[in-house]
Amino acid sequence: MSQALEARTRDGVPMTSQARTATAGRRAEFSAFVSAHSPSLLRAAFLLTGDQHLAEDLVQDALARTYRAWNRLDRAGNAAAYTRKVMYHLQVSWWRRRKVAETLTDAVPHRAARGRDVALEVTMHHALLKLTPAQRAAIVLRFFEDRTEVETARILGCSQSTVKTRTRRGLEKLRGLAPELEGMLS
Amino acid sequence: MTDEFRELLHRRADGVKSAPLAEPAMTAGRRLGYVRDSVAGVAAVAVAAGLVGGYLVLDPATGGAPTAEDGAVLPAVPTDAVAGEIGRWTALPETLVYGNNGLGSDQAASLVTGDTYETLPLPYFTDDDGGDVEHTPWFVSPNGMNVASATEEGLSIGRLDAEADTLVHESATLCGLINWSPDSSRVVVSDCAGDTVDLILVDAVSGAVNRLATDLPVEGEDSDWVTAIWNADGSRLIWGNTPLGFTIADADGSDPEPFDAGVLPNAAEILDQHTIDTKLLPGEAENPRTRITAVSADGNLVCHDVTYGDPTGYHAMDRVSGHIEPGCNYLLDVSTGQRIEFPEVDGEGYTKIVGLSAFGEVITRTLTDPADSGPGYGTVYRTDLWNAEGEKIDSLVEPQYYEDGGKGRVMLNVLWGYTS
Repeated sequence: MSQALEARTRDGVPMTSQARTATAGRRAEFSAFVSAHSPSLLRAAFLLTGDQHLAEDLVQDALARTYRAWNRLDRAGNAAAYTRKVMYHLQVSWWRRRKVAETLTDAVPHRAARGRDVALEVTMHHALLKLTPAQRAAIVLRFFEDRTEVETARILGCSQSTVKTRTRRGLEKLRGLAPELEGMLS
Repeated sequence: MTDEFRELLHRRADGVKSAPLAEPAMTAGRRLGYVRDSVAGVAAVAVAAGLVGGYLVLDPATGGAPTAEDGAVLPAVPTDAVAGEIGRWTALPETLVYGNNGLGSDQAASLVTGDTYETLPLPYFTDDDGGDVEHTPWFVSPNGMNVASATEEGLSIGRLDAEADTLVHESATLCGLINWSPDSSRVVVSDCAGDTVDLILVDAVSGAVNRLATDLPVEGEDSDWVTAIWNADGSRLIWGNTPLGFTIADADGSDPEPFDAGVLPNAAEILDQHTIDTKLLPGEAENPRTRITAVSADGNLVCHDVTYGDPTGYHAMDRVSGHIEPGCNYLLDVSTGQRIEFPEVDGEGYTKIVGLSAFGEVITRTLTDPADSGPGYGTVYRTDLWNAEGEKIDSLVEPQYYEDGGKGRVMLNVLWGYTS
């Protein structure tokens, strides 16, 4: 760990030069990591942003930071957790929020299968996007990724009680915004 | 029942199209790399303002960074920052450090020593493709030797003349202002990851990080107005905001108690009538708010940067990248309730207090009468040093600009720090 961090400080080699000299093996390793993990990241990012392109943008930003930190992440063994954490942090960051306001495209991102209530899905997503970014992140982690409160707190960098509060308030707000979800959220 | 909700979320997310992200991510990752294209030497020892603040207790080191279980804990990482000394200010320093706004970006510092100018590009990402420039807020230490910055990755610290800085606290949710301790050995910044503001206290030399929890809410406009500073001798930590008041504690945040920051002035006390009439809405003149920028060693003098009006949408970091230097416009003796005035400069032009020493010396910076300036330029600043008795002991008319080769004229407006 400290070795990689030292490399980011004054070792006489600018970072871009380091990047340029990255081995083909490192690039291939990272590409394989992206192929394996980007689908699940994109799905969560779509729920967080409401838009395919914004989701790609969010995941790409997180992956870019993962790529920079690749050497100290012990490769793909823990890079997935790191990327997910960075993605959620970026989503709740005001730096990002000031550039991107969450919007929901009306288009369904895929063809509706038989028996699906697409209208309910859209209603739910509209309501989800009206939560604060922090509440939305807690809801997605708890109910989409099926993370425990402890895991969610760790990913979001906050206390377990904060996760509980955000989740409770988020669900309350969802009920108010979309009464048709009432039966699902009790 | 929530199983149905889980299923609904999954159905909504199913079928999101995959995208080829590896190459774009690698390209973007390389562009985030820190590069510095020139290096220069800086001679120094401490001077300048006491700034920064802190809180109450703490979980060590990791802050918003991935945890050990996630596999990316950031340990205390030695930086190459240099601590300074706290002593009397007997003369203005030979070298001034400016934020550079003449090169199409503020990601550079200018060091001015007499007739000698030097530009230090800082190692922060700038979008050079014509898109939005992502300004990186950066703050020079009082001794003029170090720089702390809030990048999208987190808090980085290093020497001003180094080629890259060390990431000491990984977080995408930094907020508020970065402040240095008077001896340039510590840094504090706020983190808005949770429902309440945490203070991130960093030993700038060793890189050790402590997270100090506060009860100041993140939601709403007030989190960007949180003050967190050390007093002028670095022995005490002060934090808070206008609505909730202020707290003072030991330097590490222990033993907190309420802090009397004094009563804020009506706008008429510090703004001219024309400004009040043209810039403020009805009622705003009676609604001041402050960010404290300095507190004397004994806690009696409090330097308030007072503003009026609606702060909604205001982001402290934006303000800094907008070239507004730290400093305050209202130095108050809270023991008497009287404003500390500088008759020789008050009324001459807009004056800010930019330094308060551990021994009571004060540095002011005055935007002088445009009639004194050179042709075509109305921004001539004069820096004055006052002793604790209010006598002027040194003065310097600052240069306005310099020509930086083919890059054009570099204006020297934002004074960040001093070197002796």
